[in-house]
Amino acid sequence: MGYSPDKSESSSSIFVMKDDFGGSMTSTSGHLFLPWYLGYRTSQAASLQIGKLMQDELTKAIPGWKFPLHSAPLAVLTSTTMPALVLEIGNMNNSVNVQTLVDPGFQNRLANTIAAAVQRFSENSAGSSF
Amino acid sequence: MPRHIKIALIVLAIGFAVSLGFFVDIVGRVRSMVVNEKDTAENPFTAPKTPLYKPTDPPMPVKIFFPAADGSILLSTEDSTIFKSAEVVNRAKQILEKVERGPTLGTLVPALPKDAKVDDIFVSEKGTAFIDFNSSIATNHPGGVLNEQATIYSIVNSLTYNIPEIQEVKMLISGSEKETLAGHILLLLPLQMDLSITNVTPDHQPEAKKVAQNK
Repeated sequence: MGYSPDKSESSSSIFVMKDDFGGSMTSTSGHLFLPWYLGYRTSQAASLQIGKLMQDELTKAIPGWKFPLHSAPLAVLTSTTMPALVLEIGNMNNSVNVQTLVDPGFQNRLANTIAAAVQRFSENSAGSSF
Repeated sequence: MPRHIKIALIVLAIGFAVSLGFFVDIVGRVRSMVVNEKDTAENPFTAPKTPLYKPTDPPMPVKIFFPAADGSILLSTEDSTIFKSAEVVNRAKQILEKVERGPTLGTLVPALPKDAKVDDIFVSEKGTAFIDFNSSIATNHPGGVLNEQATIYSIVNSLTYNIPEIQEVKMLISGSEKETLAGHILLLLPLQMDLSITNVTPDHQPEAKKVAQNK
């Protein structure tokens, strides 16, 4: 984890929305309409829950790879009103990384693990409205 | 000649005249822009750079945030000194010059990509600092969520941690608002200090900052 000016540096991480983002822009509670940038707050706890679950599943399924869980004010997550996360698997600029990423066996294992994590989350939170 | 053809010809003539007028106007504007650029390039006299502090301004210790080289934490700090000028903008400029220059410690790495420079700074009465960067901050950025987060929060934290008058930072690129720096972190809203990604605990904030926050 960390900054690298090298465009080919490989990394894998899970990101959820930063919890207090946009709070200073809203002066009062009880809005009739939810500001677009606070959409993430409707499922904030669930996003964190699926983030942890995804981290567990991926760490178990892909030994030797680390999937640290971070929070950041991500543009793509700001207005989502359902549990959401960003999963960074690797870097296509990294020659070693790209060999693994294009391997069909790895891709299948990864896709199955992600699908299983989503399913497990869905079963765990059945009945709840997030 | 039938009446409807006459009307059609008149309408066409009016349309042609209006289009010609627009065309002439646009050509004139383009020519004047070219002339102005030439004047600027050939003008040997540039406005002198205003000093960022007076000789009487006292020194002020600051912490500049840079990405940590070992990756154990995203941002770490380097102690430095600026001069406590009365103008908030001048203090902010001094801090951003240090961020631009990069760290002196080997355990830290530069926060800004190659050729990235601050073009302008404005601080509003509400405590929002608007920082306009040149396009290199985006075009030369290596990308990746963590890299983007490190670049942005090196700037945000360095300003908000050291200058009590600055509560949040809004980044602009080449004078305009951009959704993200390199595709990930949202720049449409001002960003506030985030010490959770640093080795600094909130308790260790400067006294002036705590007083400003409690107001």
